[in-house]
Amino acid sequence: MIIRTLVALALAALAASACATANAAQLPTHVGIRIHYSHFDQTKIDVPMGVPITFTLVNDDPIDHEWLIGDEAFHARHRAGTEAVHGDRANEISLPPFSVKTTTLTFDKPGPLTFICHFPQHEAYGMVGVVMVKP
Amino acid sequence: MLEVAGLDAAEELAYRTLLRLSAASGAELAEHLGTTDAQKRVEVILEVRIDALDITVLKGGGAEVGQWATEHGFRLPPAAPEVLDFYANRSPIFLAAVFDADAAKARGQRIGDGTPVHVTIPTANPWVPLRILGLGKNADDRVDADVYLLTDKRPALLPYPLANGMRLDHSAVATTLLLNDLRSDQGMAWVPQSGWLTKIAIDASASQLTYDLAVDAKGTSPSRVAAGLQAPASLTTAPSQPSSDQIALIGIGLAAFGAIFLLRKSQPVIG
Repeated sequence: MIIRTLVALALAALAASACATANAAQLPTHVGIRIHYSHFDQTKIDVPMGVPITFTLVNDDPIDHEWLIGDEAFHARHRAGTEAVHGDRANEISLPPFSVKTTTLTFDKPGPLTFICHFPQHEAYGMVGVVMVKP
Repeated sequence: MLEVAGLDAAEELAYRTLLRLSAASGAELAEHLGTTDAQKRVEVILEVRIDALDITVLKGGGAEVGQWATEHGFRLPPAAPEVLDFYANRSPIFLAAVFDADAAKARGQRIGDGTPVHVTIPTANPWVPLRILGLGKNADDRVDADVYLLTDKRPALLPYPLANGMRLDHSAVATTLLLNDLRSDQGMAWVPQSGWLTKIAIDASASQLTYDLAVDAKGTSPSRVAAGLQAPASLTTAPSQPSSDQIALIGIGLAAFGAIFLLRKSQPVIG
């Protein structure tokens, strides 16, 4: 009886592990985000942890936007920031009118990260989304 | 035909748009004057200087006009792409205004001084852009404006200005005294001997202004499309020959870029 229970628990654990692995494998490593009328077309994206994720960012608008992803402390800095243009960091992308850019990031911690356009009024207008990093 | 001329202040005008712009410099525009894709697609119909204002009348789609404005130093607010398309679907004509602070200072203008801009638009029915007044404002910000209409007879209006931030303040035969006074101003000889004066007050939050004011001067059926209550029949086919109603949309741009300009002044680029 005890052995049978242990086997059942082991199978359940294996199944759960396999299930988790399958879920992680199914998560995208290439993500496209389109900006139109100053809104991201995706605002909640699940991605796997520890794997390079390539984001393709399309600005369909005739105005400048930016795509900055990070934690709350990161965004607090950028809300009061003075950088008009980004480009040196993979998580800070400037998007001129009608432009397409790609960037690749590897997330090493699980949990949510927020992407925001910090041009004046854009965050309040709704240019906010969340990337959920899954283990 | 488009006629633009500077005017002295008048107490009441049948159709006027007043720009109130805070101090700014137009010098930064100079570095943006290179040939670009947007400039190739946008046709500049008219450039004129009025006091300290540099006025440009443009013809193009919403995206092209928006890009032109971006490239010429206008800091467009996030709602601008949608609003520009909203108006471009009704007309390809826009008007951009840039305030030259140095010129204003040289002229002795002070903060808060307005510059009357007289735009003559041949159209059977006046049409007043209101939605654009909320551009660049937060949803709860107030928009206060007075609209005066001088028509041959009592007009029909849409939306009927009794709610949603609109108020009908005056609707009566225009007095001879008023008409004579208007006619005495520079460029106002066209004012007729009789007419109907309507005053509409706008006292709304920016989020309420989702419409424009359509007018049927004959008092019958104003256009739901012009009022912004209905989409144009074809959103994808650009009209090749502007109709009189489409030409009237010049007024939109006047208000739009005034608002856009103010935003550029008040909010530096950050990120």
